[in-house]
Amino acid sequence: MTAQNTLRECSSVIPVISQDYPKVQKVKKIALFLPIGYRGGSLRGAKNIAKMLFLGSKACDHSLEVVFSFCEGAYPSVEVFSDLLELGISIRETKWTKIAKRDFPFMGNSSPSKSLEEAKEYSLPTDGIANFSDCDFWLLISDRLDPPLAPLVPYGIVVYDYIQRYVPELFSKLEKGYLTTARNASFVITTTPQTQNDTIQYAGIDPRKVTMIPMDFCPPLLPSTSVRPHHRPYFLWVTNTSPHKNHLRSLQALEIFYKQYDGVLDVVMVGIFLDLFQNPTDKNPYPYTREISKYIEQSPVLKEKCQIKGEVTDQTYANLLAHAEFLWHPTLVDNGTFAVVEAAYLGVASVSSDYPAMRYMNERFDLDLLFFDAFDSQDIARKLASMSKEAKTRRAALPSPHHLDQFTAERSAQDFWTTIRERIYAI
Amino acid sequence: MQSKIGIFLGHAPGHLKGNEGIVKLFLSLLNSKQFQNIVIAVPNWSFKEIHLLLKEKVNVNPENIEILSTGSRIHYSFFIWNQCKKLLKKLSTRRSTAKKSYGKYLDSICKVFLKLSSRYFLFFILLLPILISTILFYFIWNFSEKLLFFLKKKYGSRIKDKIKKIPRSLLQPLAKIKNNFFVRRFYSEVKEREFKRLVKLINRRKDIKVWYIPAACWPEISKIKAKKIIAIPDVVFVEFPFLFSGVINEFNYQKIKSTLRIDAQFICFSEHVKKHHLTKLIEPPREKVTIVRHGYTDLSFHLKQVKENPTDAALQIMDSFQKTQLHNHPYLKGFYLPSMRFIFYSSQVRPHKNFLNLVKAYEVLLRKRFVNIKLVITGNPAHQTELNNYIHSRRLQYDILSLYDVADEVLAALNHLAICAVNPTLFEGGFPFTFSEAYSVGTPSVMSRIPVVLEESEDESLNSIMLFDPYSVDDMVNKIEWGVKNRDDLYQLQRGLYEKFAVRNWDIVAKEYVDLFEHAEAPVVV
Repeated sequence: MTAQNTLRECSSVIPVISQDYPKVQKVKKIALFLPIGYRGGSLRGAKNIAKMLFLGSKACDHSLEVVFSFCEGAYPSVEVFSDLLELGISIRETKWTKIAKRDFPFMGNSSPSKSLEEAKEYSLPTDGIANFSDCDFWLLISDRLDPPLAPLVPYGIVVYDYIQRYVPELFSKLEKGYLTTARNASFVITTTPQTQNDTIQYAGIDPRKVTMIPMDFCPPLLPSTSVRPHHRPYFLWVTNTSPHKNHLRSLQALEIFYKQYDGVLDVVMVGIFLDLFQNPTDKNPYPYTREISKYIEQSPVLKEKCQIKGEVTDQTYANLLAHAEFLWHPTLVDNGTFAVVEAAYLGVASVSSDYPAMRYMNERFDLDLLFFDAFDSQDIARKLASMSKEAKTRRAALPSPHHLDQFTAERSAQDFWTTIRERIYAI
Repeated sequence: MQSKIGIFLGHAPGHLKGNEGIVKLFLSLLNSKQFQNIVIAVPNWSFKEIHLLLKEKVNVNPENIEILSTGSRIHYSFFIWNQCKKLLKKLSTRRSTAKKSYGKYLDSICKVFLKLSSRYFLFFILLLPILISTILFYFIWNFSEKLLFFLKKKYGSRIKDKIKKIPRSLLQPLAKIKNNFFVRRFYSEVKEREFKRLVKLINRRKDIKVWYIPAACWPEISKIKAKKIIAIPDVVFVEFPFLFSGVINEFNYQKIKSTLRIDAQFICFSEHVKKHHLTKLIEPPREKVTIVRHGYTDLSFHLKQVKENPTDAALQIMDSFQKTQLHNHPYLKGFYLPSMRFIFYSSQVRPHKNFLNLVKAYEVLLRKRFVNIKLVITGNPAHQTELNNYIHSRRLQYDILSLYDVADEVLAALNHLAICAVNPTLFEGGFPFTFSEAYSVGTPSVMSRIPVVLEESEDESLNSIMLFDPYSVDDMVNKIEWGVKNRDDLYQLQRGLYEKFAVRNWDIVAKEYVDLFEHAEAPVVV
């Protein structure tokens, strides 16, 4: 069976949802947008998608060109994208500008259909060349665009989470632009069932337009040393300064762990901007981080036991993770963290908050996580104490690196491209 | 032949609505076979409303119903009131449409000007001032928009939002004026005069032996000479005095107390209200309170009228509702409704309806238990500041959706599409309508453990599953979660309860009313 036949067959299976754009005949060039200067796991995830598009299409004998767009000034150098460049994926620095709705008629023949949800203003990616009009299809990584993406070219979107639905403190205003961006997309891709449900229940998108792709995984670096990188035994807390990381309750739980359960392990905190947790003075610009800093400052046990390492290199991270007793993930809710899979890859067990995305990851990667209620400091402390005792025995139940290798982007690439391709041609 | 029955409806202007509890009950009676030879007395401001209501909601031959009114001309103050409301509503919702229309108008003026003035100088002279003033106005309009845009950029969105809200904020004082003491006094004066005229008309009708008054808020009916039967759904103030503070509630309470002093026969819908509200308040105490329980409400025919398959019918109704009523809704206009999973509470927002606890319970369900559903209500949260503030401060306005003042078929569709109906009320005068409304279209309910519910539902094993303590958010969360996750089981378990109600259709209820009317004692001459 030829590739075209397969395509036709797929197109007939998937319902035609949107007649809003000119029909996509053949995709030769896809632009992949990362509209926010994400770092860490989110950046890795976006690059993985670019790789999967490129490698997957290649494996299916499609000569697909992939252009990776990143925000102007967000990264210190293009070295960050060297892995993409090596593969043959081109990169473009992009400035996001706003255009008014009335300017649409001057923007070519691809003005959006009336059936799309309208906004007064739109976000337009500008690259100083042709504003990505040379690409047949756009794929937006995350919906974080306000005003919404200008629907000038058919586009799909990868949505990681609707965290604002669960942690209202995160956003100061309603995110209408995000929802419109998702609603005007030809299709929406999610990586967990929870986000898939949110896309339908919160963003209000027709479920036929929503696809869940299997979660892929990028193995961490292997440790470069057999010497423990911290002077005392510890467990690792991968976090950042966002309130959904549940710092206050976690710190309370740590106090209980040390005082009531006689916890002995240090906790090593890694993640971006964590230096803000070490500044309880008024010079700390954010009330939230100031409050957390003060909490740590006022607690002798936390001051002694909490070791804030901040943002570390991938190698240091691998070393810290590999030598940790276990990994602790007390976040309230998100789309799941790869840190627990990375830990398992390096033979380290994890204790985690109980929320749908982590349940899904636990099942998919066979992680044998120990769960706690993230809203209950007592329960968190209790599980920390249990894990302190069980960590070593739990290691035996962890999946092997060989088992986890099957989920890498390289292995998932072909399936990913097939899913995307079917969706694109279903437009 | 059955003698004529008079029904008195003294609702305030704009309040005679089919979704209001008392009116719903009255319509159910009217639609029964038993209610024949009906005369409905309404004040002049309700003349059009009652005709509309009967046309839309009553299936019986309209010739069987006579409307008794002082005429259709309404008081000038109501006329001014209505016009102000209409104008401000237009201003607040149609700004952009108005601007577009004005643009088109300007375009046409230009065309006419160019066509005529190019031929005749006289037209140039005559039309020039019109053209200039039209253009000037358009420029000022545009300039003000640009200025707003500039202000927004410079000083943030707050200013723009405030200016944008001006027409809307003009509407708010209107709502407040309504509750102003002097306005209410003025309305009382107008009402008193109108009711006097109406009662005169009523007293001329010797062919009507008994008058049924379905609410306790019109003490003016004491002057009706014929037999009077007054329905007292409840005196909720007695049970929750702290929820009903303020001048308005005091005013309403006094009206009910005055009504209870009238020499009449009283009807209520539950033992609880009889025992705890009426016998305490009726002066002098009399054994004239009869309990007539509600019949069951079946909404299924609204769906059957549209399509054979109830889900197809409900989806079609919601599709049409979205296109016609939600096309300006910032969130729902583009929402794919067929996939929406939600729990449903159909009720007006009143202090004792316990919306705030429901909202808190819903928040726990969504954010701590990760039950991926929405909460749809038919009340308007803006009617209760604390509730409204809570929803906004917790950023729940995309998940708690108010579909206010919906038609019956939309109500049926929402009930059918809901996973589970919820009724967290602290008090009801009779067994909550919401149960049979939901069950009749295939949806189970969880509700408050309150006396009127326990009067009807005696099976404790069922009660322990479907009833929650309305004061306990945790209990509410647990019962709703169970209901959502075990919808089909709950539906089966509630069959017996529903069937108990289903036997009691509105013909039976209406017969009890008619029997009561026929055997009512003659009043003491007032």
